[in-house]
Amino acid sequence: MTKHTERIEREDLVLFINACLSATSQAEFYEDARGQSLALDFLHEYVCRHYRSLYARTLAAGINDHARARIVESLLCDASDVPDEQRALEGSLIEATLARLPPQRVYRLLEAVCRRRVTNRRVRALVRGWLAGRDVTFDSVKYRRALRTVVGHFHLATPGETGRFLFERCSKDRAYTTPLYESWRAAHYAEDAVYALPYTIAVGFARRLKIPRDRFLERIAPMMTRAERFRSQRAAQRAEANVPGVDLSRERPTRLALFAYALGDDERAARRSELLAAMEQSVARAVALSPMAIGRVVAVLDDSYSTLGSREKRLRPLALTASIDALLRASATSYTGLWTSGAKDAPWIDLRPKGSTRLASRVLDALELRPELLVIVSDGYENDPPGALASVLAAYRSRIDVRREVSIVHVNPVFEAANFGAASFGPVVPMVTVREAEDVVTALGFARFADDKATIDVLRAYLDGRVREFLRLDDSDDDGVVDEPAEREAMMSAEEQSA
Amino acid sequence: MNRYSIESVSLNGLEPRASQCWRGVRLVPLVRTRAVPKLRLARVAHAPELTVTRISAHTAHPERELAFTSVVPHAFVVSWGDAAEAELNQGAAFVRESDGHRFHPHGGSVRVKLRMARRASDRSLRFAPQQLAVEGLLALFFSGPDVASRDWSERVLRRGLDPRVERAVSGRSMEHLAEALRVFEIVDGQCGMLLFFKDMLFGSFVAPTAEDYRSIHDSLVLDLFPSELLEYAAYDVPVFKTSVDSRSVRTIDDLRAALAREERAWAEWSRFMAGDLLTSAMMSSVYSMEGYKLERFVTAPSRKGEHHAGERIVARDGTLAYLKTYRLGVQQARRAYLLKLLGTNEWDLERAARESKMTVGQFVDDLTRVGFGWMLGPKVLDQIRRGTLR
Repeated sequence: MTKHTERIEREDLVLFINACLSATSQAEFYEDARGQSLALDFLHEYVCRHYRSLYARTLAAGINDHARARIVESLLCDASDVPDEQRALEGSLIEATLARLPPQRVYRLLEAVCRRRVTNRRVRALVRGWLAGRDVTFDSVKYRRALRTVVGHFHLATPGETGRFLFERCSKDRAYTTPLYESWRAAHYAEDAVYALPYTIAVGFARRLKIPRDRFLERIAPMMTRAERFRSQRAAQRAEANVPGVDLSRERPTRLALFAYALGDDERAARRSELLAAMEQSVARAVALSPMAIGRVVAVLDDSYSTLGSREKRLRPLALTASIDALLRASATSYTGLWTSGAKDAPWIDLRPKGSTRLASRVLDALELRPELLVIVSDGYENDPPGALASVLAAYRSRIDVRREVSIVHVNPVFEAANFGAASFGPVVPMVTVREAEDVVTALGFARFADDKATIDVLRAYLDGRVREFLRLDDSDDDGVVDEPAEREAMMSAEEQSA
Repeated sequence: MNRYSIESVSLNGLEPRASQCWRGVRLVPLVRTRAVPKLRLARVAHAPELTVTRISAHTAHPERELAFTSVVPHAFVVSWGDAAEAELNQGAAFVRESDGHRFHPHGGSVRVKLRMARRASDRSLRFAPQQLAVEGLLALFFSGPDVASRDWSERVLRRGLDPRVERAVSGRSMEHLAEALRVFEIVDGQCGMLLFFKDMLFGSFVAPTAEDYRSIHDSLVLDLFPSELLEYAAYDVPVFKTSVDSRSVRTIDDLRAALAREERAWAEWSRFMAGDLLTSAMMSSVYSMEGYKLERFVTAPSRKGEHHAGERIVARDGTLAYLKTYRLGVQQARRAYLLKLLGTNEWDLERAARESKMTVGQFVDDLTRVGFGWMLGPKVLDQIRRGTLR
């Protein structure tokens, strides 16, 4: 009996962590956003109620930001009858999570908490603690609406002019002494002041003052974060603005692949060598950050039409598959990538989503190469013929490779809401889902729990290990956090100049 | 449709591949094994407005003029010859710009066209998809009895079956169809597709080239379907999963062979499922192009079984270049069957009843049930009233 409940518990948790790795409540190729968010809401509520301690520990498991924010929200909003030691652990986990989440996500999370009308000593202390680490002047300009909600809701003290800035309207004749606030006030009327503001705020003023796009992009360039510069480079090109080029190799592999696929065919062909080199460097950095010890690897990669993704996630599955291909190539001692379209070791940049999903015969091609690890990257909708892969793999496990010399992992770039992302190629292949190529490291580590062998205790021990690592909080690896100092530095120098 | 030949519609030059399922919809891709040179097809999208098509274009008497009123959301342009692609562009542009006259009565928009299948340029032809098929169905024995008899009403003797009404629903109202078409992964070299709801064939489409197919694929949702399909569509089909026979498997090669066997079985199954479409159709020619014929057909109606009306373009060697079919609803098939019985028996009630192995009474009952009661003449009605009809 206990064995049975343990199995259910383990399966529930594996399902949940899988969902947290990939799902973002956005539409996918086969499912719409509503279905995705319903499924995700259910999973969060269910796991939070039944396995609260493990639910909190999931924060440390390398899951995506969307899921982290969602977990923190549930933990903060529903904390009745939680024992004290559990509360303490949750507190430190939440604190560590907030420190690593990009600020815009934290503000959105806090707004959600406000909307649910939750306020108690614990939440107030957490919010106060987090805001103490922030530059409130800067945040009150960049996240004015959110900060106003939070300050109003939790009755927080506001130093200096912050209160007036947040809660009063801009007026023509009452100046601020804080330079950033004053720039914000001046930007309502004068173009020069716009360029002292953060980019997202400046964009609004640029529209209001009808500043020509090229001039705006040229002058605001020093105030942009790296992500913003990367995002706006195509717009700058179209506006023919004279903006310094972006170093593509600093982007994460998946985002770089997305960028390359979004280019027109001619431009992609013209920048081909640049993009390929950038991908190599980007992948090399990712590998250096989190190395993988894997030997002979063969990957079967899905480039069927369904990797087109949805309108919200255009080409993301393909870009993710392509960057996983690059990452495995850089990490493994020997590597072969087999695409379902028939290409072998094709350069990632030439791929387009096309054709049906013909996995089974490709997997047999892969198994013939006798790898140590076989990675199948696919959304799990196999249709040529349907269901062949599960049956082929079952036969392979039971008839040919009885001693399990080849380990097989199914990496899924898509969360399948209809059955909560449950394993799609049968019980012999553990499935893990990912959202960024770098997640593959976490995913491969996690894959053994998706298999039937590991027990719930092993999973608990694994999560505890991740928690200890996570709470040490020595390296922060998030874009947003890395970006911020650069942004603030730029702001300082701009202030100095104006003074 | 009094001049027709009985032929079979076969998928010559095409081969089914593994089907793809979405909810209750199963789509079977057809891949071309024999190319059709010098023929191209394109789609021209119209605003969905009322279109009045003049059938007899050259009559001196406006009152005798026949017109066909329809809402045509899009049209196909087919072009042929050495420079088919150039012709296609030219033809499509011509259709787009100068096809028909447009009127705007009472704020609406009405388009008046000359003929149904009409040349768009020298070597291209414009027609509305499924229009020929549906028209063929409606025109089936349309003229009514040739010999006056008191078996038949005044109206059918004078005016034939006019107005002949059939109902169909658009694919848009079909649950899951648009979604199924969107998520369908077009196969390499795919030129056509068979559409199954609950594993019954409900439509088919074939284009001359893979490129043409790709450009038309999404518009298949505008096709017509019989209204009972709305009920079929509400249920999910069981999804058949492949299972490889692993009993004698020792090596990877064995496994590969087993998989190949399984794939062949799938193709066989698709061919089997599409089988019924393809027997004895009443075919009549509409237009001939260089080396190709545009034809329309209704599968010869019988008491039971599924029936399709359709249009096709075939090459001289029998290769299917274009095909579009509409599945008749049960009532529609019944109507077609009764009409055919009457038509082939020169509208003699007794002979028709004998051929269908019914009594005259049953036959008349059937006619009434499918909505043809108005055709019955005073003699038959009198017999019914007196209860002497057997």
